[in-house]
Amino acid sequence: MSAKELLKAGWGLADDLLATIAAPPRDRRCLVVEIGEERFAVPHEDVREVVDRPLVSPWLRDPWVIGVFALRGQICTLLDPLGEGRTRRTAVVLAREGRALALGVDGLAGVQTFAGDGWKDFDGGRFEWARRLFAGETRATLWFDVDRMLETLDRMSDKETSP
Amino acid sequence: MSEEDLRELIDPFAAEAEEAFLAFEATLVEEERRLQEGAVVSASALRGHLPALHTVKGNAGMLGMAMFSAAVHQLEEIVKRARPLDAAALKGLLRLVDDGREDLARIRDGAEDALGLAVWTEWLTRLADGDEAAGDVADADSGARELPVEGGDRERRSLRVATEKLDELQREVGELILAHNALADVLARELQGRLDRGAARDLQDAIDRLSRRVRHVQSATTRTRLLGLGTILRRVPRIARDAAERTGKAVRVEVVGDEVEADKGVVDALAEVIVHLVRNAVDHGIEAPAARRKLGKAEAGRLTVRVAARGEVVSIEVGDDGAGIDLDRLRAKAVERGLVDADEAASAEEEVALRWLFRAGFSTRDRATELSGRGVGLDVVDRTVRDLGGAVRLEHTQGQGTRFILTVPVSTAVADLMEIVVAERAFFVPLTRIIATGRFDAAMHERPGGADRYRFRDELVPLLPFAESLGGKAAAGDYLIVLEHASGKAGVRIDRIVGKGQAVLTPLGDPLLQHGPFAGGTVRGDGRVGLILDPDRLVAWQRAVGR
Repeated sequence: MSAKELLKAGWGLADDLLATIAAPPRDRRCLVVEIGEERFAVPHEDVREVVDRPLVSPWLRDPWVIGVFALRGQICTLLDPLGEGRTRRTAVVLAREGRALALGVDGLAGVQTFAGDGWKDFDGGRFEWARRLFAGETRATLWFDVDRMLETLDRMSDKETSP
Repeated sequence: MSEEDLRELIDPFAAEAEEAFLAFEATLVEEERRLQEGAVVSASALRGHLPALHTVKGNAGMLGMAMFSAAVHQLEEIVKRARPLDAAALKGLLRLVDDGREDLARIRDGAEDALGLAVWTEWLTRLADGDEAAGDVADADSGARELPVEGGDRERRSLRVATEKLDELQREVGELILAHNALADVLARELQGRLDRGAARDLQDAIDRLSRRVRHVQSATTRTRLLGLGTILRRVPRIARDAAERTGKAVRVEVVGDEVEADKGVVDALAEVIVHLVRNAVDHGIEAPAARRKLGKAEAGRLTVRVAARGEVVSIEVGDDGAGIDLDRLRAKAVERGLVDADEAASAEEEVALRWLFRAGFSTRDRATELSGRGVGLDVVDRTVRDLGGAVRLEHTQGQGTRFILTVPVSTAVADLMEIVVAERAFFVPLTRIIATGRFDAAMHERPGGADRYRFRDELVPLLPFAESLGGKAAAGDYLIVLEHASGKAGVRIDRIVGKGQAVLTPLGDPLLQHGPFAGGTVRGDGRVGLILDPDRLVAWQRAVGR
């Protein structure tokens, strides 16, 4: 019986309370990218492909959207994860059904497998979607929670479009 | 046959059955009209649909839809045997068609078989009651077996293809065009001056040949997606008939041009628009028979739907010979609803005043009960047509009738665009939305109440500060482009016009881009995305961001 099942059986905790208990960490294979001064780990399963120096048409007055570029017949939206509205040289195209989105990054540091128990909780600082930190030997890597970032941006976009 | 294989056959089956019902329905409506004018219902005209219904029955049986197959069989029997063919019989048959159509919708949505058979049973009971007499009624017009069967030939010449496959083909052709444009661009840029004259000419000839072939492939692919507007237009008599019955009016319908074709996406979008305009004409345009008599008009109003193709554009006219639009009442309502103040209402040109009818809620608010269940208003008609890259015009003569004229591109996959430069950035604008372009004349620039306006053909048109919003200088741009948007005209100062041409359109798929002023994009020869301005979105976006 798992810890959750034990808890539920023994103390009858409500499902919503159980849902707040974080899933156990597991080893994750990630693409490590550099954005500004920071290093982020983007889960491997979230990455569809990497496009170096895409031909970007700039977007308008939105610090989170750098611009758009053509990707095999689709128009792909290039995001600035730091919200600085800066052009970045590489596009990490996200694997998201029905959406054509890419993260603008300054460089790729490689592919790395992170041990599940190596992650520490982190308050995110100015990155709302980076709530875990992997303290490496030389520098820390922040966990890039793609879903969290997209939820935040979608929420902001909805506000902007609502009357 | 696996469940998956079976489901793959459902769509073509349902499409074929719908076509059969649609054609049968058109005949029923026509026969009903003839009957009202004193003619005898033609049994052979109805029997002419038996082969198509028989095919539907057979296919339903093959797909294991026993109930649906049995129901269509009963429909066949009714067509063969029901006597007398009076108004009640035709009305009952029309209800059967409605039920059959509803069943098809359920089957498409995953139901295994027909469910809505209550009305069928009711009708069959009525038939059984009169069945004894059925054989005694002479059928002077009985030639059903000799009638030519068109369906079989048509089937052999055509092939049903899943829309997704055509979409994929079109996407690939779009990619081919992009690759071709990129190749032509690189060759022109990189090889110019490096080849001797003969080699350069040979290369140019080869590129030209390739360009021609690519254009032909594109054109052929676009044609594979074209559907006849007949699928919508054949429904018009029935829709007008139902609306007339509900409102106690009489209508004669004339439909012209059902052979005209447009892209499937355009046809699908136009269906709702045409349905609304037809109902609108019957409900609000055509007067009641008594009122028409007093006016010296024929009791039955005339409703005309004319479709014509002009090059890459389809025009659709929905006209009636009804009351037209009462402009005084329109002006009063515009003030009452706070759209404009009394002075503006009084001074607005007729063309401007008529556009108020397309504002959300304007035309239907005080008629909600009468129009309940319609789903769309004139604002949605306007929005739908604009989303297709087209435009709606309204003409009327008070007391004599109203005419809606819609123009839409044959295909939304390719559009005629003008490339412009604003604040050193290139954009595209659909030609259908451009009213005029020209040099910016400072003498025409006015600032009443601090708002930038441009005097254009005796009208003060708002000037949008698009260049400033892009980070450009205020009041920059030597040229002006006047655009048509949902509620009027707007001017934009631009640096220059680059040129015009056809381009493959690509939607801006992601919701994050929806709040921008763009309708979509097109991939240019150099591989960059060119953003296509949508005047409606531009006006809304400009309002939101200011300068």
